[in-house]
Amino acid sequence: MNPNSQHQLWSRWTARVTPDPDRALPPYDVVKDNCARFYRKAFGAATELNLTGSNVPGACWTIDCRTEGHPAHDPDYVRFMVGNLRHFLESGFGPHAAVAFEVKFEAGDRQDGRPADQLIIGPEPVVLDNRLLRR
Amino acid sequence: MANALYPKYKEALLNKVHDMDTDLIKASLVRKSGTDTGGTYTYSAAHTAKTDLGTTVSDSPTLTTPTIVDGVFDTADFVWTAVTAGNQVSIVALWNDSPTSPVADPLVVFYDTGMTGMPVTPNGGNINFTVHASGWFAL
Repeated sequence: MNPNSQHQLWSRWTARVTPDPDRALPPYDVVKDNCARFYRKAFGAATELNLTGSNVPGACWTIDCRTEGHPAHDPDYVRFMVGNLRHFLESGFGPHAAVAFEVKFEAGDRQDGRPADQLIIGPEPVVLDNRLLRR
Repeated sequence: MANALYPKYKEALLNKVHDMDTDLIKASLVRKSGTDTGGTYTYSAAHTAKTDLGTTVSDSPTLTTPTIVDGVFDTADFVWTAVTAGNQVSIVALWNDSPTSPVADPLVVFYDTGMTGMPVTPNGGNINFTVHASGWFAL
């Protein structure tokens, strides 16, 4: 993946969901399968999805999606997609689920006359060896 | 050279020079000697301060939301704004803008491998940096 190739648009769509307390909490695998299916339909194949959460009451779920080819610089498009995603998440987590979205345009041409945005994704962290030296 | 914490950073950490969740931590883009046209920087374990990097391509604003949970240093994502167009860049280095002693602006960590989108050739626009989900480094 080279997010800085010409004519590519990269964006990140992060949803944080606190499930409806009156709704039975779905198992992690069910949420994962449903999110994978829906996000693939919504965004297509060039999409990376990370899911964190648990069915402990009150726990927050995070659905973090990085995708290519979607005009996240267009407020109308963002409104449309967030509406679809919100509908999907409220169907699964309950109508009183608290759903918050963050949409970031990461790389590509915003079509505003400025040079295209570029993206660097940080490396795996440097980790010091935990073992103490033994003589 | 692989990604590395500067040894002098570790030394300074043990001497209470750094307070990683309150100090002004910044990130710089740097051209690498022998790899990037016009690059002059080569990692050295003896390097201590930002001045050792030479001329940087761009310095970030202070990184926000620094955390140090379970020995892992993490921050929010950030942006280098309107980076001057030019030759490719291969290095990201973190440094601390707060301490003035024993050296000013001590170096923290050096990265030149494992980054998606690197090397990057600045085009005059913004360069967005997404911190790895597991943070910058772990002690």
